Amino acid sequence: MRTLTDREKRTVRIATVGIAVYLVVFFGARIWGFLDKGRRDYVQLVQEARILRHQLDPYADKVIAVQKLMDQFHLDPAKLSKATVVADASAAIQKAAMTGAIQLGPVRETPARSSNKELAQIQLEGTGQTSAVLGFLSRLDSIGYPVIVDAVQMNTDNTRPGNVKVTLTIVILDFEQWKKEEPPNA
Amino acid sequence: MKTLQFMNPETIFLEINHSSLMALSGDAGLEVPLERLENGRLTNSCREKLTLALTGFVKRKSWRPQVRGYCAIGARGVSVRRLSLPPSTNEELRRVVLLQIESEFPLPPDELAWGYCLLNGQVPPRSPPPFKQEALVVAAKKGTIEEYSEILAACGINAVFTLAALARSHLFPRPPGAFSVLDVGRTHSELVSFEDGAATSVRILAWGGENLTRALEEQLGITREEAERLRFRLDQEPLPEGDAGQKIRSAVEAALTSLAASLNGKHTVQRLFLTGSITANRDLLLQLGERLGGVPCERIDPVPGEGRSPAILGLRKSVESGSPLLVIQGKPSSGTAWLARPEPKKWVRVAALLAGIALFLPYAEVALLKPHLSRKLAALKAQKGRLETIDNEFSFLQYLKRAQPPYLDALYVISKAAPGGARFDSVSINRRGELSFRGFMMGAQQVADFRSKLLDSGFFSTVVVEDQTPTPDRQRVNVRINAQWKPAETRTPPTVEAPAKDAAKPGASAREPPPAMPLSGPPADTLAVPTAAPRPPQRKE
Repeated sequence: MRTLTDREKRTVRIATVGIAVYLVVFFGARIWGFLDKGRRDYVQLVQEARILRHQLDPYADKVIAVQKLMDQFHLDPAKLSKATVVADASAAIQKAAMTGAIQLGPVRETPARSSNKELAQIQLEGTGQTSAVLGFLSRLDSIGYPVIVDAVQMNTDNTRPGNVKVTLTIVILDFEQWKKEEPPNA
Repeated sequence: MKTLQFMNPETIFLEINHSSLMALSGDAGLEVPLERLENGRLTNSCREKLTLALTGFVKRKSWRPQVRGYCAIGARGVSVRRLSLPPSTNEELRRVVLLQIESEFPLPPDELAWGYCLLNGQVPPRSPPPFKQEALVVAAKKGTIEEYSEILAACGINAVFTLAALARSHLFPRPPGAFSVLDVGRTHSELVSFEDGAATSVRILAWGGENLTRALEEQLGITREEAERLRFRLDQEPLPEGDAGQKIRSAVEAALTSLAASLNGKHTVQRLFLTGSITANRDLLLQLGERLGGVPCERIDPVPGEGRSPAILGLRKSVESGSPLLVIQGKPSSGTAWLARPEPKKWVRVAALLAGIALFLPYAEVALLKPHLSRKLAALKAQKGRLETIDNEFSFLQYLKRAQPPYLDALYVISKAAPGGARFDSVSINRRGELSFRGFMMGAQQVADFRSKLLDSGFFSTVVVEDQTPTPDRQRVNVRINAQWKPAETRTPPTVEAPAKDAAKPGASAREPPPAMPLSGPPADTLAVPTAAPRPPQRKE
């Protein structure tokens, strides 16, 4: 192969530089645009992640509070079923009464008004020792159902010395009413 | 790269010969005459003058690194030798050269400033080569170099020294074979001879431009000034015709003959390059060549100007082209330390590389982290529905907690406030906090006290004795009382006194009643409250 002269070598060098500049200008711009788009998408993702983290921050405390309340009431709202909760709650109340040495009388269930976020109202009568009645009252909030004692009436039971007659009005909350609510802003 | 020049340390080129110091920095030049003592040292006044002149010339900026100085020294008092060295490694070479200097030079190495280079472009090997090596050694009196070095350092110049005669040889392309370079000074000349590109000897000739001036002065019978002017004219114009021209020619020829005699006596030259105060007249140069036996003579004409001596210009050319310098050092590796320092260009390259990395790092981050982040975000968004559930459950459970009425607390407060002998037959409480109870007490005063205690407890907002009727035997008072408890936010929770057996325990003096606290059982057949309102034995925390 013929050896190139200095002039030819110089021409080749200049041509190489020219082609390199051409490639850099035309393809460099495209590559740069591609990289820049990727970067902009990434920055947007990072921004979204920051917003999400900002939204999630309060939930750490909220979850702890929910867990504490669930432990206190022995209640998991997710496991409640609207169809069976009244029956189950009624059974649990009666079981708690019997376990607490309360002799139950008539038990009446009436549907409650949905505007009050209540499913049903149970009125029950029973007799028992004062201590048993009070113990029953204290156990009612941990039977595992969303119940609230609406009213309590205690009278001396003249037929059985040492006993009191108690009449309780208990409401069962409609937990699904809370699901329909708009979630508060976090 | 000219734009980056400001990053490089300022460089100054100097030549110090017997009678003057010349300096060149960029385009600015300086020439200072030197005064020496008999022993060749500079006089004190000369040193001061020199320091002042150089300091003013350098004008070093405080923000720039120390000025680099390349200093060429005259051949007076300098010895140049070619030494044959036994095979030695790079590490051993300096020691071997030192031993050779000790045996070859008249002065011990401690009194010499010296430098060397291997000839024929040999690179010092790591392992001993099988053949002998040849080195060119240049040595000068240490005191002389140290004196120059001190003066230059005082002016902010960190200088390295080399031989001016060698530096001049960089002014022109070196021809193959043997050649010599003659630099003609005012009173003497320096002759350096080369063979195969390497210097073989340096000589001082007692012939200078002054010899030519004197010859003209004597032959033409003119004054010294006229002879000087004539010398200058001879460089520019051809020799004049006529008697005057003949006389000039014979005067110049006489001077050249004496020069040729000096050269022939010293060396056999094949080609001679001339610099300095020598005529540029072609005819006269030809005549000099003829007197040397047909040696071609060529005058090297550097750009004239202050500080632009052939040695300085050769030195600058050598440094700019990156040719290795034969550095004369007073102390081992003292002057050349900065020569090995990386060039600022390298730092510029490193900085550019770092800038490139900094520029592309965000894009590398995108390539590395974007897929992971996208996956994680998608997973989080998919589970975002759970947040609503948590919100619902939280608000539901909070409502449930707030809605629990404090029945047991109310009964406890009543039992604590009830006086001895009091009895309640009926108690009715609802979620809204309305209490109604019916019973009897032992007198009107007890009723009043009971009401006061209920209000003082901070639990009830109102207590109304609806009916207070004495029994027919006047022993008791039948009462019917209504009360309303305070809202949860303002209600004072009742405190429970610990029973005697628990009182000793720390922190058991006062407690809030637990929601599961039942009241004590009433006396037989009534819902009676004990007179002393004792804490029920079955109370639990």
